[in-house]
Amino acid sequence: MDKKELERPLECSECKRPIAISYTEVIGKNVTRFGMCEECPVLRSKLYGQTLHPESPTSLCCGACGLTLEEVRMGASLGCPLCYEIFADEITKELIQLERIPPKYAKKQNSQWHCGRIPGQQQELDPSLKLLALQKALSDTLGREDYEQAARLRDQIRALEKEKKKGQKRGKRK
Amino acid sequence: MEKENKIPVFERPWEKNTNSIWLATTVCLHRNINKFNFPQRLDHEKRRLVSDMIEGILQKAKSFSGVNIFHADQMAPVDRDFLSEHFLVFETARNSRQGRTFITDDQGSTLVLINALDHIELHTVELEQKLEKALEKLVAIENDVEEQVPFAFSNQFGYLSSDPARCGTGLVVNAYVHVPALVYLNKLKNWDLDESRELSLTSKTNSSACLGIDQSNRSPLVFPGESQEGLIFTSLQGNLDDPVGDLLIVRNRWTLGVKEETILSSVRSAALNLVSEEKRAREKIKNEHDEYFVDCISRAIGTLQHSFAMDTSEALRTISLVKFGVELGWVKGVPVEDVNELFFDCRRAHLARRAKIEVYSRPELNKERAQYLRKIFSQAKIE
Repeated sequence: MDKKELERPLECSECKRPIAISYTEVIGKNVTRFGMCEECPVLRSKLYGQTLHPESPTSLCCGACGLTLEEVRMGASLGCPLCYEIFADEITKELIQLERIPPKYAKKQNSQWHCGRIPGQQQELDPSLKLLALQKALSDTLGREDYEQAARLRDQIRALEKEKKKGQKRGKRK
Repeated sequence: MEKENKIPVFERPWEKNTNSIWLATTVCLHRNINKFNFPQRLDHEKRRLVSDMIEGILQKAKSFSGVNIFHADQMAPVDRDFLSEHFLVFETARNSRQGRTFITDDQGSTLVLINALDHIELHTVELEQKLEKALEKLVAIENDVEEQVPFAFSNQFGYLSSDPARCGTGLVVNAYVHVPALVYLNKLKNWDLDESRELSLTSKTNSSACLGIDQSNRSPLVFPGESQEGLIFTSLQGNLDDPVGDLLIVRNRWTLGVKEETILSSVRSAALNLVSEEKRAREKIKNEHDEYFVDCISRAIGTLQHSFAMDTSEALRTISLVKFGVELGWVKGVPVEDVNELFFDCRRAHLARRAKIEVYSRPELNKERAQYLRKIFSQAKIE
């Protein structure tokens, strides 16, 4: 592959592995370009008509979208929300193996890993946490004697504090 | 191919941008609608349905100022590429699968991408390091959509995505940091990045090799380990072997098991660390007036002023060196904001739109790029 070619897919359109093959599909007037990895099951199926499903089907398959455990293991994208329930163990294993979750969670399998915003949460971001993050960045930047950057952060902190005070005043009036 | 409507003239990120090191940050939120298969497993009809639904909601949403809708299958490839380049969206956004839709606001600061990897991807580009503000803008849009349609969510995995590596918060932040001094001093050589196992971080040699310069004596710098936890360091071409344009991308590795505030804070912290180290390295180079760099920058100006064909990779490398020279105060005759704009304007679709080229041809684009750069750098000289 020519390393100089920048603007082409960086990862397989199907499974996100590094791409090895550029595949262009022309159907009528539509031209679709895919970047695919070497072992892409989708590519094999397109080129040789091989089915994505193995001859002896695995016992596990998503009833909603038809995704099989074999495909999940080959790195195919998940097909629907139900896949997270059906393939929970496989997904958990992969996230831990690829270090896609903080290490402290690796030992707490099947527990509630998510700790960010949840549906229906109207508040955008926690103002106190925002302030803390900026203050930490300011202290680190001052530690590195980068005063120009520190001034920029200080301005952001002041603006946030001002906003917070305004919010508190509005709250009291109510 | 019939075009639905023309992409308006947006204010472009990095236009009139005088940022010298931390150039820009992109913030992206991934969401899927509950009860629907994810886009890869959705037939055309249902993809169209999802797209229509989101278009309808955004047209009434208070959080979205002006709705410009572009259906990928009715767009020219150059227009699709243009939007992807404008919002610094990676290649997966570019193909024209039916039901894939781009929706932008009037300012060109926010993009809602429908039916790409997930049903909804909200993208924004932030230039002033106000990462929280950028996320809040996206969350406001998300709230408007969520009032009408429920998102796929589980207590264990958070917001669900077609790629488990993006579930949880669904938040992906990329900070673009221009670090020529660290790259050329080989300060990144032994960086103990957690990504190094995958990306084999090695010394930068290619661009100096093409300029015929040996930099084997430069000493490496090791960054403190804790600042790298949960982060990926990469570049425009997806690895760190040779960061094109000396641009490093700092991205969060974890979207699950961390709060949004923590993600923003860790990316900011790593980017600011790079900014400080780069400044220190530049100061050293400036004080020593190192002939090695004078030579590199001078050659880059020569290449830009005299080439008749130039690919993106070479263009970004030489532009990076001249930007470096401008910021050191060594190069005159070209304003830094013009050089910053070139990081966009020399890319394929921006260039093709400027030159009104409808169908890509690499030799033609390379000639056009060289001609454009010759014009911009005609007055540049090293002092």
